[in-house]
Amino acid sequence: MAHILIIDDSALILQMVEMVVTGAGHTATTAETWTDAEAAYPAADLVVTDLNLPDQPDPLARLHALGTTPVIILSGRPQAELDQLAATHHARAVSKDAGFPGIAAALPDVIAELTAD
Amino acid sequence: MTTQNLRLEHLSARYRSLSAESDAVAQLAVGVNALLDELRAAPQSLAAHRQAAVADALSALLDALAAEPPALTVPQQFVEAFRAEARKRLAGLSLSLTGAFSSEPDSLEQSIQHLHAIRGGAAMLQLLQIADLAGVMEDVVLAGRRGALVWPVRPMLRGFAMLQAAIDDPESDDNALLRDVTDELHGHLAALTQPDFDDTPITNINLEPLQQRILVVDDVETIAHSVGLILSELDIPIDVAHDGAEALDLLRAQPYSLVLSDVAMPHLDGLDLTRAIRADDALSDLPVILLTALNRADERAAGLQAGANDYIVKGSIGGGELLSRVHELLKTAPVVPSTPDTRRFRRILVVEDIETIAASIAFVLSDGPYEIQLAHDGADALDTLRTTLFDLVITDLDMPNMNGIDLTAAIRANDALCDIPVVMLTARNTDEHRKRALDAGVSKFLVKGEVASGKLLDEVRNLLHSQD
Repeated sequence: MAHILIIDDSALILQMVEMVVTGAGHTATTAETWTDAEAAYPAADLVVTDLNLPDQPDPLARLHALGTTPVIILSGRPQAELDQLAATHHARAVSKDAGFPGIAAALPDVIAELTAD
Repeated sequence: MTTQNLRLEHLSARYRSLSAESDAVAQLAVGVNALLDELRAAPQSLAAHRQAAVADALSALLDALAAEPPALTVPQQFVEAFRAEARKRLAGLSLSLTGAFSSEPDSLEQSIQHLHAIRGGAAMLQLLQIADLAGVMEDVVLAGRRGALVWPVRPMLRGFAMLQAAIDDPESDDNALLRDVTDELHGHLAALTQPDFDDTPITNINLEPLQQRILVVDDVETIAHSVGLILSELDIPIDVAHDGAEALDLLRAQPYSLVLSDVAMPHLDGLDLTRAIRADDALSDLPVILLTALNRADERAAGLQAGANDYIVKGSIGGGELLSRVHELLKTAPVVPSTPDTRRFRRILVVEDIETIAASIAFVLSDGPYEIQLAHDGADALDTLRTTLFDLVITDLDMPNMNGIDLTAAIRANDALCDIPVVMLTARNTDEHRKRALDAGVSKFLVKGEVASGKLLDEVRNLLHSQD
């Protein structure tokens, strides 16, 4: 079981992703702003983050500066585009284009892979 | 073999088939089969009624282990939450988009945020048309931020209108007009990849100003609005009727140059409206274009037989086709005589100290027949009101020099101005501010961010109508 930090400026997305994460047996903290995310970062085993935050134009760079906690990008861009971006930031990516059922199927597996001992 | 033994044999075979599921299930299957073997070999070891109960329990456990997990569907609560969140985003977008077209940095960032959020939420809920439209609008703003294109303002405004309509009914997933504007915006982006990109507007019709007037007839307001937006390129007055009966009343009350009508409408459909126009000596020469969602040869034939000049499928009105066909018909259409009472626009004073917000409000109001003037604070507004006649004032609350409440009180205290309706449009959302404003004489108190552009226009229209 891992503790997941979920960062998105949409309360709806946070609710949905938290449901997926806790349904997979993990605990979660949600953050709608970068300020809240930074405060919650130390306790997280993994971060799931959107790319567009009103108070942080480059969350991937900031997360990299904060530490080495694994990162999954969850954004509304095509998967291929996100995979390229993820590769340059040593992260993984899941596209919101997969829809809630697709994300519910894919995200737990990626989390499990990144948090395996 | 007894019935009970047959049942136990069958259970045993099913448990053996589950052994491959996982180690734990395999161990369970070994244990259960050992129990079943005992029961079959020594039925007297367990009373008969208990054997049946054990078999029932093992059968229920087997069903639970073998069941497929239910398909994960999106709970309806999330769709409702998306609609609520998207409406707030659209309210913000209605204010930021105007500033974005002027390439103001804050407005660009806010527009990107709003569209990205709508796109993401729609994608999660598999509302693919909404996601696609929000996504391409976001891409256009991103390209605009890079200075890579001439802003396709009207398609973006149509996109905004289509997003509003689709979010109000998100599970209606086949929307020809929405697909049309999405394709048009994709076309603008695709043009950016061409090395010889020409940044002249896509509609290259030579649009001379015409002294004419168009009537758009559609029972769906967002469609009428969208058609009106397309035709606003012609820079001539456009009126809207919501059914054929209302259209006929308008046509008999004042002159028009052309009618664009939906076909399927209540009270009087497009075909009967066309026939009524042709049967009336005063209207018989009026050009009529029928717009419909259906692309069927028999419908087209019926429309032309009723007397329509042209018949266009709604899915094909983007990209300049509707505009070019209307412009062609208007060349030989009746000219509307200009009379002061039909041409006078209502004059509205918008009082707002933040320029981008003032511009956004003016942009929203430009959809109506209004002349808009801006004042940057209460004192400036009062000076303007003393020299120029206005039909309505829209004012912010917090402003330097004179706030909106003091301005309202000054208007009410002036005999020449006291009857002008005053709308307060403010970010302050407390009962105390509302009471102070209403006590000062404000006619309507609206909160920014909670008022979508359509509602503001409705409030303005209703207040002006009550003054007639």
